[in-house]
This record gives sequence, C-alpha cells and structure tokens, in this order.
Amino acid sequence: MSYCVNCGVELEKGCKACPLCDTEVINPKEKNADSKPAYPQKCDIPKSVSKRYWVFVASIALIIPNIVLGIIDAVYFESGISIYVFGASALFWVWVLFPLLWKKPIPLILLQIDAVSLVFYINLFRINSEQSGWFGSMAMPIVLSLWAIAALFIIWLKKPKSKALKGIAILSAINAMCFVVEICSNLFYNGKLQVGVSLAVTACFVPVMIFFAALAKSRRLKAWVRRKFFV
Amino acid sequence: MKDKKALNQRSWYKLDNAAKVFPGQDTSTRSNVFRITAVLKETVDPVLLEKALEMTMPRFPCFNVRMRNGFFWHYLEKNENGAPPVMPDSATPCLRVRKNENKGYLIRAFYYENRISVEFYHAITDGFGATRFFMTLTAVYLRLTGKDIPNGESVYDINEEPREGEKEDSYLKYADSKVKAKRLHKFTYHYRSKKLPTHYLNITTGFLPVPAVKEKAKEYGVTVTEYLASVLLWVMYNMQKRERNNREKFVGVQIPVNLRNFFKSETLRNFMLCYSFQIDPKRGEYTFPEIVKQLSLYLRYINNEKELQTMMRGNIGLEKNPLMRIMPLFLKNFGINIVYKIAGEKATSAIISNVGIIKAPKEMEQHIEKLMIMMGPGMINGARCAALSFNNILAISISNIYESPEIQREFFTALVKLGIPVKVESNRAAISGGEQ
Repeated sequence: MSYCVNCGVELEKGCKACPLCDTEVINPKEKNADSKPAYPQKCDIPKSVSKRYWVFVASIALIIPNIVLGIIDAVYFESGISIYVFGASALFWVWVLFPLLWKKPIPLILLQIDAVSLVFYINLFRINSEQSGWFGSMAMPIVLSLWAIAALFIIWLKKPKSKALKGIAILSAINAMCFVVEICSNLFYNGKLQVGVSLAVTACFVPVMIFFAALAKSRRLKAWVRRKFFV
Repeated sequence: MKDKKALNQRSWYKLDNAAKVFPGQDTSTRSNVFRITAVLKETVDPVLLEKALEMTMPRFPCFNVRMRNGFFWHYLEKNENGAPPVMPDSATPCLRVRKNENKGYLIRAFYYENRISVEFYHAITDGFGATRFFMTLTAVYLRLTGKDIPNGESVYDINEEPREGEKEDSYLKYADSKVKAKRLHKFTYHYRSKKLPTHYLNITTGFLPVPAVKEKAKEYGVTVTEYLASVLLWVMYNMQKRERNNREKFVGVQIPVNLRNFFKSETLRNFMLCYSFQIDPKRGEYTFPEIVKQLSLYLRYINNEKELQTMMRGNIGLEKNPLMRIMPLFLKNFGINIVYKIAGEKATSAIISNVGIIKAPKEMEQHIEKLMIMMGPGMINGARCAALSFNNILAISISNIYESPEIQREFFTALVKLGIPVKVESNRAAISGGEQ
C-alpha cells in the first residue's frame, strides 16, 4: 500500500498520482501492481438535444398562429393587419432563433443581419402608410445610428474594459442617441435643426461621466467612496 | 370490462411530502440522485445481477414505479416493464434522470469489475430505504452465485408480501403539531472554482476505521455525525478565511436526519428532514473545539420530536395550501425551479448526510469488502458528503462539480491531522482523461 507524502492519506493499489493533490506516487514495491482502478475509464455522457431541433420546434410554433391569423384576416376582416404580425414573427425569428443555428455566432455579422431585417420591417409600415417621408428622414437615420453605435461597441469590447469605462461608454451612447432622435424628429416635424432635451441629458450625464473617470483613475477616491457610502 | 379492471388494479402513489420538490428542482443537466456501491470480493456477473434485480423488484413496490405528470402534481405509477436494465458503469455517476429513459424506472443498476452500484432518484426514497433495497438486491445476487445468505438486519425477505407501512407517507402520519416551524437561514459562504464540463462529477471517497472516529468523537463527547459535521464546517470556515473576503459570510452545514429514529415508521419512502447549523465569522475567531461544542449543543437542543413535528407541519402546510394545490403542475415546477436556483443551496456551505451503520447477516458481510454512498451533483455546493458505516469501515464520499479537489483534500487531510487514518479513492483520474 502507498501513502501520499503530501496529504498523508493511504492510496489505492496501483494509483499513479494522489487524487487529492496530484503528487506522483513512486512505490518500487507496487511498480507492477495488478489492480483495477475504482472507476472505469469510460465516461458516458448523455447526448444533449441539438439547438437546431429547438429552433425547428419554435419555428413551427411561430408559423402555426401566423397561418391561422392569415386565414382569419383574409376571410373575415380583409384589413391586411396580419402582414404586421408576419413581419414581427419574421423579425423575432431573425433576431432570436437564427443566432441559435450558428455554432459560433459572429456578433458583427449578426448585427448587420438584424439591422437589415429591422429596416425591412419598418419598410412594411412605410408601404402601408399614406405618408412616407418619415422613413427617409426619421426611421433610417435612427436605425443607422443605432447600428453604428452597436457596431462600435462590439469592436471596442473585443478587449476587456473596466466597469467605469463601460459606464462612460454606455452613457455616451445614450446621449448620442438622444441627439439623433431629437434632431431627426425636429427636422421632420418643424423643419428646424435644434436641440434642447438632449442638452439637458448631456448636462446630467457629463458630471456622472467625470465622476466615473475619476473613480477609474484614483484609488484614493475609490477607497473614500467605499468608506463613505457602504451599505 | 377486463381492461377497466386491470386499470383499477394499477397501483399509483402520490409523491411524499419531501419528494414533491425534487422533480421541480431538476434541470436538463442535473437531478437529485444518489448512489450506493458495494465492492464485492469477486467479479460481478451482469446476467445474475439482472436476474437478482428482477427477483427483488416485486418485493419493493415503491421502487417498481415510473413517474407521471398529473395536472396538479406528479405521481408514481406501477412500472410494468419488469426490471431496470443492468448497465456497465461509467466514470460519471449520478447523471440526470429522464422519465423516458431506463425503461421508465427511477433507479439505475450498474456493474464494474467487483462493484455493484445502484442509483436512486431522491423522489422515491431516502438513504434508509435505498440501503434496504440495495442490501436485499446484493443478498439475492450473492444467493444466485451460490452463497447461503439468510434474511435479516437490512436484508428483506423477497418472498414475503410488502408491508403496507413500507409504502406510507409517514410525514402525513406524524406531522402532529399545531404550529409550523419558521426556518430563516442566512445566505452562506460557497467555495467557487472552475467547474467541470456539464454532467461530470468529481467524487472522492475516504475510508476510515470506525473505532478511530468513535474514539475521537468521544474525546469531545459528541456523536460521529456531529464530529464529522464539525470537521466539515471547520474546513469551510478556514477556506473562507484564506480567501480573505472583504465581507465574511456565514458558514453553514446541513445535516439530514432520519425521522425513523424518532417516530415508529417502517416506510421505505422519504422520511427525513434537514437541520442547518451556521456560524458567523464576524463574531470573532472560532477554534475547532468551539465549533464541535456549538454544533453538538445546537443539535441536541433542536433534535427532538416536537421540533421535528413543527418542521414537518411547516412543509405539509405548504403542500396543503389551497392556492398551491390548485396551481397547475407546470407553474409549480417553474416556481420551485426558480426558488431553488435563487436560494436552494445558498443557505448552506456544505451538506453531510450520515446514513449510519448498515448491518447485514454475518454470512453476507464476509463477501462484501466495502460499502459506500455518494450524492449527486449540486448547483454550487462544493461539499456534498454522504457517509455510512459497514464492517467497521466508515466510508465518506464528497461530490462536487469543481475541477479542483481542494475541499476533498482539506477535509481528508484535516482528518489525518486529527489522527484518523484515511484511505482514498476517486474518479478524478478517469474524468480528466476519460473519453466522451
């Protein structure tokens, strides 16, 4: 019988390393010990149900109510409202189920696909509405800026960043989106290039961002905050 | 008409009070499963083991079942498939249970070299019932190999009719209290490190001589369970100290207790409750003798019939709540799963379940080298210990889902340092180099 020189426990016959500390076991008397290990060397792991199967099931579950709604709409209402539900279902499929089909999803490519599908969905409303100016002057700039910010975020987050930096980036992104939405809506409704609410948002965010930046830089400030505001 | 009669004769059981939560806690990767293994003195013949299983199953109707979904609750129905298949063992025990696998049975039988292992889904039985079934199965197997093994002790007679008391839900019978226990436990420290891949389990079993452990426990004037629980708590307490956390959390240990020691019940279904003991490191440094003393005093204070009855009443109160009863099963399962994920294992750093001494007829003892029990995987618990004593050897198995055997090392080396010799075996070598 062998003992682990590190742990002091007795080991199984023929054991090559201590199971508790991985210390090698060298026992000249048990060199050729003919003993079976306590557990078989084979690992039987149950096969998990593939993601593709779940995508298939969810897709079927999505298609059935759409078909029923389509028939009801065509026979009774004839309003064409079901087209929006079809569009929303397709958007859900592209955004949620389609990424599951990928073994290793590439976020930037998925983002392009998501943005294009969103534009198509909004276009559905444009086709069916009497006015169409809002699409070019409001919807597209907002979607494009959202897409640009998300793409920048994905590229920027490839390397890990501190919590404070992430906080500053999120606040900046929200602020930028406020500007885009406000400018677009003012241009569309009043025909004027003016900003008001977004500046107020900036005024609120800038001190917070400065505080985050200082917190990331100064360990003393961090310690002071922890001391003063512990809960 | 004949079909209708057969249908009426098909027996079914409600899940007992403790079992009701287990199906809800299951996920696609883990179930509440535990395993008993016997190391025999000769190689196991799978054909004879299968025959032994077929002969044993009818004697234990509570095990001869499959689980079905009702509209409001799960229930157990007699399984007409003969017996569960006997399978070659693997290095990854206690895998999740699926109702449509294993011929629908909730127990699984394995063989490997000279080892027989049976895994039990906790919804059908506890450690007491499982050891009775397992010892009877082993006795029947040994008889088939030509040994003369009598009935008695934990070996039941397979030719006698199952007693009604073996099938009863003893919680309902003995929960005789007008007040419900309120259990408020603080969230505790948990050991965290890199997890093993899904379905893998790190199991290490330590074998200790019972007289040496008893002697050590006697030095402190405590029982073996109290002593082992104290060592485990001491190990977890020191691990948290070494991690130098800014805010030290409570350290707790959960100790299941066999209610048959207090109430006259012969049920083979679940009949146990869990005590939790916690220490607060913020109150100052604890020494090992202090922990032993506090834990044993706490258990002795709380371990009485009245306290247990109030605890049972509390659990049954929840089951009998009208709102809970009319809630559809899928909602119940969803709720139980969420609660278990959020708080299930948070209130205890470690679990130690000591099944106690397993006695067998003398003619049988000489054919069994070792007997051990081990728990299945938890969600975060780093130390899930199960222990039993057989032939003067105390086998303690620690299971967890972490790659590093740090807790196992700390626990067994602590015992060695306390003067108790320990022999270990583990599945680590197999799962680190195992093929999938």
